Amino acid sequence: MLMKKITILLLLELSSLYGKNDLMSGLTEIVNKVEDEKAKDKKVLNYAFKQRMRTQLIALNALLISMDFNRKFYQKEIVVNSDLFNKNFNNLLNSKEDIKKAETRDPNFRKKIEEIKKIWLTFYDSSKRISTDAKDKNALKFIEENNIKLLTTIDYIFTNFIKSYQSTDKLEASISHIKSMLYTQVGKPRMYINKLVKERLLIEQNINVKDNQKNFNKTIKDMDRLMKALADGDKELELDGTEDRKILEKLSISQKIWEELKALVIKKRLNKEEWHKIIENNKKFMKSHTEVVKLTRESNDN
Amino acid sequence: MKHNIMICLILLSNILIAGDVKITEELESLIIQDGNKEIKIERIQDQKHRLTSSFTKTSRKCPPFCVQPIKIGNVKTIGEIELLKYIKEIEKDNADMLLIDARTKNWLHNGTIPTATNLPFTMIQKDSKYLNKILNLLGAKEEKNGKWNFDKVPSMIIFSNGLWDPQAPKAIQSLIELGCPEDKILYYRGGMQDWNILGLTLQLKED
Repeated sequence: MLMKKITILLLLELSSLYGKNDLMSGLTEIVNKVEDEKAKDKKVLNYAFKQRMRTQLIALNALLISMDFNRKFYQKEIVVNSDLFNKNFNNLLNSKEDIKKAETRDPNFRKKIEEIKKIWLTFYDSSKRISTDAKDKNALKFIEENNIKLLTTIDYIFTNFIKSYQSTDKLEASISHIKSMLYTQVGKPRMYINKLVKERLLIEQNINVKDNQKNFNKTIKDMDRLMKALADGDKELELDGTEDRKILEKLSISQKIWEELKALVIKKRLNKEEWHKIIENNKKFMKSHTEVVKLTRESNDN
Repeated sequence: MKHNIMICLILLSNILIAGDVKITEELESLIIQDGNKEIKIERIQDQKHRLTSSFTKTSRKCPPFCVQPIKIGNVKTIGEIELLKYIKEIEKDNADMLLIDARTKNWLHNGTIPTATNLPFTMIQKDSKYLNKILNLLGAKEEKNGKWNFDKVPSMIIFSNGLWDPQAPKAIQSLIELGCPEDKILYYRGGMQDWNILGLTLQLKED
């Protein structure tokens, strides 16, 4: 009798254990499914994420080639960078459902994509031409005149893509807005650094000096402000700063490289050695700041 | 000889230090079984330990991160001692109670409370496409009038990041709106903030 009772109790215990494990794994399965869907969204955002920086990198590569600065190397680089832009842009164009989703929030979205497409085709062709003929002035002119337009349109696309993924739930949307602002801003220093080196090179070449000097000064100011904001926060930029030690460590490395680079680019006259140092620091910064971006995107530091 | 004595003294002092930071005067730690794993819930023994994570922050933008009330409707609010008691009960009386981390998954990177199941507050909103599936899994039955019967749903202890985080309160409100009796829910308001500040054991979830 006692044995029977114990057996029943054991069976009850086992069935409840099985039930609970079933319930917990069922819930985990659903949550993971939702996460997989979100990961697909992130893929589309990744297609747009580095494109802003690439517009400036391609323009910088083109200028260095035209100045015969390590020409052969940059002729290879411009092909790599423009191919990457092209690949990501085509992925974006093929993400039809996501474009549709973004369009429901912003009726201008498709128009902006068409704008990029139009500029990009000639831009891509120009970068290919420079990769084989360093003296192709028309190609260089097109890149010089259109890289900022390409950048601002891509920036528009990126920001609106992020908005289109925001939840319809008010609370979730307001929580994720804080993260979205961070994601929008954290990658920007990579774009700024290429932009300002490019602007400094244009000044060096005596091309549109007044405007380029003005843009150059502004880029330095924007870069200084953003680098500080990523660490300490900035109300207007909607950044809260970070407490994450790993991110702060990486940010301080980027900041150090930036300070070194800044000290050089603001000099009125630069010798060849200093130019080499600038270009080297530009590359170093890109590498180091990519670590900051990675950590920020992984981090939970709200 | 002198060297050996020094080693012995160091070892002895370590033994004396171990267990100094108890949970309560009577409770040093709690050992629970989570699946095949044994988890020891205790406080960090290093008395010089300081938090370095985002739980050191004093100020967050409100809204959304506003200070939360101590009570949500008639739902009972609990602290760590009660939670630990329930965690032990969850282990004993398996299906009758569930510890729910109501945060969206990206918040879980830095760990959660041992034995917790992640059920983001967004998934139990009225417009969630997974709502029916989740309620069915929990044991709720949809009645002919479209209302949900929660009789067979286990009691749920719900938490999120703590006193500044609206995610758990939102999950609780949603469940109440869906018809869940308030006495089936417990609110651990201190959440991850208080759990961390007390140096209690965290469970890191695999991605």
